[in-house]
Amino acid sequence: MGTGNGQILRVNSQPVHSENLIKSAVGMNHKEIERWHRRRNIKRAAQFLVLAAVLLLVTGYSASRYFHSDTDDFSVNSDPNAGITIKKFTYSSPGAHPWELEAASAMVAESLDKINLHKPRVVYHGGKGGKIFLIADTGDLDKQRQTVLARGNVTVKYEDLEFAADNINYSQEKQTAQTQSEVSLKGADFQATGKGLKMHIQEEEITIENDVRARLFNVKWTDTNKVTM
Amino acid sequence: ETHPSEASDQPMEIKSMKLTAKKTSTGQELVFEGRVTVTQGNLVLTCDRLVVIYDQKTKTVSAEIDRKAKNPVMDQKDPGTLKSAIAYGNVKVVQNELMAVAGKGIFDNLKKTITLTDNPRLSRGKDWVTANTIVIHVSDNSMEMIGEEKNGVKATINTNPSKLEKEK
Repeated sequence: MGTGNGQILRVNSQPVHSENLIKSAVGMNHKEIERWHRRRNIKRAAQFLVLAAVLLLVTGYSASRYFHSDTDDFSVNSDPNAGITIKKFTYSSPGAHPWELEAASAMVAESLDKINLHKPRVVYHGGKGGKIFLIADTGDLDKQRQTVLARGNVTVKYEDLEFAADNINYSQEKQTAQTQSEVSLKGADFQATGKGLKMHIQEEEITIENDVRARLFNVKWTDTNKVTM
Repeated sequence: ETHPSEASDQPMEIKSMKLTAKKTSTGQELVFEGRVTVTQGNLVLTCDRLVVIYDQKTKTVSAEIDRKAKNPVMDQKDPGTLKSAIAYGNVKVVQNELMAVAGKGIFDNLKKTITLTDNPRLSRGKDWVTANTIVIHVSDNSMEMIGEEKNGVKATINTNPSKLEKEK
């Protein structure tokens, strides 16, 4: 039996020298040897896969436990009605052209910038010393952009003029309030209707922008039908 | 044809593209702009721009009583009285066969006059008159033609009305 530094291999728990193994296998033909080697490799690969799967499972589970514990406690509440309700809400706008707003109640969003108003009433100060009053069913105040959107039975009163519209949008930056909806106007001695309205606060001018139909009362500019030459 | 008395009690109907309401030192102004048409009874005025001026100071007692009776609009703090209405640009007044054109027309609600300036011309059928200023007195149906040295009053009046009737 030749000497050699072959590995000691156990077959059926009997110590067999690898060189002797090959010598004893010479009696097996070449194909069987190949099949034996393939089966052995497949077995090793399967073991490796099982091991990897177990490892994957363990790491995945521990990772989920780690993240799971963090996210749950800090999830944002997505309920739109979240916020603080305030009765008798009042607000004065900062800046050069202040206006005052009050509402029967208001819902202040979490960001504190957006405020839903119930029965809002706004007083604007015109550039000529006049006051313009705006009232509506509901409204939205955006403190950051300094805008007020009034909706539902919107009424604007200025001197003895009274405008009515479905909605109106006020912008502090432009110093105007405007709408595209149908509008009506009542004055002491006249009435008018039209479409679209624009209110220039500083100039104290209110414009109905399209399709104006007006009626003036107490005006007599033709006494009889016959005007003789 | 509407009955004379009814004509003047009817409200003045105005159509236009745009209307601006603004405050003035003595009251308020309504500015109608864009294809303005004013109708009352059988008188129709068209122009580019019409400024209606309300004056708080010249309120008369009768106007106050009159206003409450006729005007369904809710009562206001200190309602103004319509002082005047000024028509600018392509002014044309038509009533029955009478037609007047001018560059500018002022209706004074207190004096009850319509004053036409800026090349006014009044015509009825084939008769016509031009002057520097034409004043129509609404209350007593009279008219004044005011000329100036350079261009006085000119008129063409057909003296044979019967011929005119046949032509009709």
